[in-house]
Amino acid sequence: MQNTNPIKEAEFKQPNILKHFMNVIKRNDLTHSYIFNGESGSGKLSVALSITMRLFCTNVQNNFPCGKCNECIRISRLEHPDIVFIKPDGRSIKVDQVRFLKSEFSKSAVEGNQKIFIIDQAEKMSTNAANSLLKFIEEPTGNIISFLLTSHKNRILPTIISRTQVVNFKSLPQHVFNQELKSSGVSSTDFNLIGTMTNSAKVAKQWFQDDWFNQLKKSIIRWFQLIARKNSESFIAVSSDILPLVKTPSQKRMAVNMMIQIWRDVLQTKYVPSGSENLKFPQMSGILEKVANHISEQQLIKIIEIILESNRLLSINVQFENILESITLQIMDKLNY
Amino acid sequence: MSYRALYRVWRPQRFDEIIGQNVITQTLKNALITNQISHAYLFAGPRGTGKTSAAKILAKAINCPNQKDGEPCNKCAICKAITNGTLNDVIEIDAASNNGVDEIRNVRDKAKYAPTEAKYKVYIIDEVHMLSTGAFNALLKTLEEPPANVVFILATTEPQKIPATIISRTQRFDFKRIRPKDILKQMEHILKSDQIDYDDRALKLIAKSAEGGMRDALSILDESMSYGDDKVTYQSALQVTGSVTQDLLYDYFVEVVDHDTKSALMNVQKILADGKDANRFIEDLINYCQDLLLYKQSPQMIEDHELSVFDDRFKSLVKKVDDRIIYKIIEEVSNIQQQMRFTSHPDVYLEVLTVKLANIKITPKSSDDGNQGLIDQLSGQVKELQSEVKALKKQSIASQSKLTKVNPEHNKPRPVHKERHEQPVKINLEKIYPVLNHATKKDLNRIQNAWQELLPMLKVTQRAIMNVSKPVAASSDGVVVSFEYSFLYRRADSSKELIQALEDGLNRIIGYSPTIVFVPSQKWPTIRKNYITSNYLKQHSDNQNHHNQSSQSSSGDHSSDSNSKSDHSSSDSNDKNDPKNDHENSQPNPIVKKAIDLFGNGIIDVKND
Repeated sequence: MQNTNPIKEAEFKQPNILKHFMNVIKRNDLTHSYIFNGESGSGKLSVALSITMRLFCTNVQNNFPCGKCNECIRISRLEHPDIVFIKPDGRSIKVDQVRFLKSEFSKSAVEGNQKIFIIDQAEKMSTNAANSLLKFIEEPTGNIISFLLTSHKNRILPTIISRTQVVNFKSLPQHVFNQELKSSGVSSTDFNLIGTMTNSAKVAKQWFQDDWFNQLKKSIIRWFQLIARKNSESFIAVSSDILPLVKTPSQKRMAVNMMIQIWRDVLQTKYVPSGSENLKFPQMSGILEKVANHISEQQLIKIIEIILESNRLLSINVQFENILESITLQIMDKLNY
Repeated sequence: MSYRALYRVWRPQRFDEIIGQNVITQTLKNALITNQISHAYLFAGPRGTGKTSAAKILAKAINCPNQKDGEPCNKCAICKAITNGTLNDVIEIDAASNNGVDEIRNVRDKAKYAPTEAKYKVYIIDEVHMLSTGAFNALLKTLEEPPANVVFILATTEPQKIPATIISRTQRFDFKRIRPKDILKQMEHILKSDQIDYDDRALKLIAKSAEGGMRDALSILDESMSYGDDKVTYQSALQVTGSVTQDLLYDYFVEVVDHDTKSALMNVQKILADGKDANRFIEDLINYCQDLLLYKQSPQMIEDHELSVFDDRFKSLVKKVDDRIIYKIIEEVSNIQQQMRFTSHPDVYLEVLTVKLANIKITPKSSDDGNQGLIDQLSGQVKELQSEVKALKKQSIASQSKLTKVNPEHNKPRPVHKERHEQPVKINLEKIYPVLNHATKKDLNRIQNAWQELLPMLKVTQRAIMNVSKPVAASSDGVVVSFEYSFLYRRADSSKELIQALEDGLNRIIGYSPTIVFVPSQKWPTIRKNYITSNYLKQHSDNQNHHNQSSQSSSGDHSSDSNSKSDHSSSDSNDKNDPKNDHENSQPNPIVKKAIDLFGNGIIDVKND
């Protein structure tokens, strides 16, 4: 992040929103608090930083910050004393961080006369923390602008939302993202699948570095094939193939996600056969078609619901092995073994 | 001075300016006029309904020396100081950040001192639900009997979190959600006084999506203004709220009701690709259903209250769609809404929902309007069946009496079945042909799709029989099912229970129960061929010929019948049990009677080995 230029990134990912904000600043219409809502990797932070640079830049050109002056550089490195940047330290935003935030809210700016607050993953604030920010966000003292970045707007306190302007960030257009992926050397058959899991090419690149992604994909495909052939070895495949690959919570989510996506492909093949370019597993189209022709609508819907339910189970810390095995058994049951 | 959000600029400064809370403001004003100010108030209600504003106005009105009819003057030094938040005697406390016992003790201690400038010391404790239990309890005593000239105003969005002991010590005012109509009026007022152009539809959309919060409405309005270059256009309002247009909703709804899964799915994918919020789409969908239902009841009321704009397409949809389909849709949608709250796969949920909506709906549609319709339908069926049974009885008797004659008024074409004698399997051609007469590829496809779903509904033994079956032809009210093995065919054909189960199952899946006819698969090609030739002949022969043809063909049909025993020397034993062309005028024949006594009313195979 430190090395990339936020303006360029913002322009690449969210040109419309960036341009809109530049105009808003020009008209002096910027309000005091915003929520940027969009998937991770959709350029929320870079837009927020670009706006900040526009406000601080000493050398504004064409209504855009120059990105070269002292101010801009310090902002892009998050080193500016008047920019307060908070992100979750671990699983949530800690009380200490909020305390720091609050004390900063009541102080005036160090260098200029304005202060910018950027809170990343704002949904991870505890209820207490969020409530204590309410007052600051509603009527900040002095020239304070706050940006709350989140990927789950629903989890933010509604009273906070009503005090802010919500800007919805579209997830990256597939072709923009594909371009990014291509440059990081991802094969084109995986574009769609990755698109459903992340919007950040950087993350995707990491997955591919140690072949982990491909291994997981292969094991999920094998699992699916076994299940589709009504082979009860699929149950064994869970513990022999999938489980050894999955360790961290985010990896678990990805495994579940891949399962969802592969069945979603079945749905897609069954009802919109023409949309094959949208398939997440294009290399599997033959089997997908076969399954789609043989499965009834009710079965398919039930199966997808079963897998979707596992997301909830994951979040309440049910053992992953149990989840997968129960998914497999339930699907086998639905397919009338 | 940088830009200030609309909701800050337009914060009400008088009771009159608080929108949609007339009961509360009037009560407070009356209390002020009659000088009956309580020492503690609790303002509860959803966000953006004017709690904090009312608290501030109350603080002003209590202290304002020029107070008139319960309203503050907003001109005197005290009023201005309170508005700016600089008066020492009006203390606004953010309970969320000062939620400990220590802070409350501090409040308690300072409350003892008399006000310095104003008449009353007013404590406004905002977000009071965030106080810790200890803090609440520390406040209890002070709240019950505060020193003279101290007023507490507690404001909260979550009154259920406040201890009952606190609530009982205060006067509680529940702020209502503001009606969309009132929000709309206020927005129009603001925009007019700021001389900003606006689109009527945009304001209505904003008013609806604000969900009763004025601050929400103004925030959205603010944002739409900045998107639309200081104009409020429908497009920018759509973009900001993330709503979809009525047209899109209409399209989606029609596709769902018409069971067009493919288009509906593609529509949903398009909506998501446009960056619309899945949750908002779900809400829009529920609202749309609500509008449909309400419009059915009272078009006038809903146009007044809900601020929706209805075009002709909407009105025609109202007429077309059954209530119960809408109920079903709402049920499904709200189920999904629950599950979607904590998911990272809203798109998958939406797709699942779409498939569900597009398919599940058929059942309620089939069974007409309400129970009465169902009863009528069933009693009609019973009557039909009764008359059929009667006809059958007469028929079997009549046919007996006409054994020697060729049926003169046979009007149905029938192919000649020479090999029928060798075939122990009997096939009910009279049932097959009507089906074939109206068979279409579309019906067949539908039945074939339903077949897979049908099988799991059957009992295990039934499923075992049906596993080798497949539907080969279907019309809108009948279906021909072929069997791989003829012994299974016989088994299936003789099992009324099975046929009943199949019809029930099909009724559940596709919404009606077609007549089910079985054929053995090795016979099917011949039957079909014969049907085609006979059909061909029927079209190309004159009436006379046609009669011969048909009567001849009928003779081959059921050579071995209930009466063939009594008369199987006759070369053209052509007794035909066709319920459709029964002979009403024929008399019962003693031979037939005898045969019926022997074999019962059914058709029986008699073989000559």
